[in-house]
Amino acid sequence: MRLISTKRIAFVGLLSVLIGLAGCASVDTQSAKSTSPIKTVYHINDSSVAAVAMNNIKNHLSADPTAKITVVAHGKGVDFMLDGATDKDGNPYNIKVEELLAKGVDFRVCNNTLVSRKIDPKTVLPGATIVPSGVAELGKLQSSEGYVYIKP
Amino acid sequence: MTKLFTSFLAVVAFLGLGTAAYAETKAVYHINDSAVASVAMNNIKNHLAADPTAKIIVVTHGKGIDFLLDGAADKAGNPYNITVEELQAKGIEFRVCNNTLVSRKIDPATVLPGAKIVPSGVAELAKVQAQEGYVYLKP
Repeated sequence: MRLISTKRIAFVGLLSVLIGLAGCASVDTQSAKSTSPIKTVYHINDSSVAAVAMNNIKNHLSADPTAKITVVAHGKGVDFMLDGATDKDGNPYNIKVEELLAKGVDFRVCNNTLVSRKIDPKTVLPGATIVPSGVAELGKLQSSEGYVYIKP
Repeated sequence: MTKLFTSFLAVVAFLGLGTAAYAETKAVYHINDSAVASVAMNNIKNHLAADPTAKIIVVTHGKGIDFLLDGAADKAGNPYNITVEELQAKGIEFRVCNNTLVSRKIDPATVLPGAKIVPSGVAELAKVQAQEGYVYLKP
């Protein structure tokens, strides 16, 4: 009986050491992560914020040039990515979108929105990707691809 | 052996729960429109009441910085600085985007004392989430 408890104590001791090591390992992962490029998804579900959002992204890239930025649009947020879309001052959005595309920003448009609003996918600006669901895309990028989230 | 395995599981479960229970929650509140500032300050007060160990920072940019400027008042005329100072006394940090100050030609000297000016509000939001373990809330 005594022998078993000694064994058990030794086992628990060994276990604590192992867990301690695992803890250190995860700290290392954390610091490794901090040097890799930050990935951010911008969520746009209302095109009235699109001009401000494009400006935010431009500033974001100036402050952090290695940042990977993806824009996910659905609902009323897809409008600024359609052919001929302009902001409230009449400036076309496609110029800004193309500038950002050239800097590596990804634009993704929700197919559920296109279907429900009967929008022809051909009117989506070239370079934007159509994804099955905007909200599922937002979920996936954060849970599976290490993105952080910003809603302009 | 079964007993050993059981104690192994018990230790793992205990450590797992311990970590979860003692990890402090860090939250970043994103404000880009001062129209929500009063509601946000109230949210933060309630947040701290529900979770007194929570670490909370507020990152503001665009139209969201106005409530952190000298003499700012809500639509009922109540000055914001009193609420902001109350929250600062509880450990809340306020950060203001310098890109906004520059583009809107706002004198940095008019930013409330205690609020910190950061180069870019959006880059700050991304950094605290990606590298400092903050979760994101948009009031």
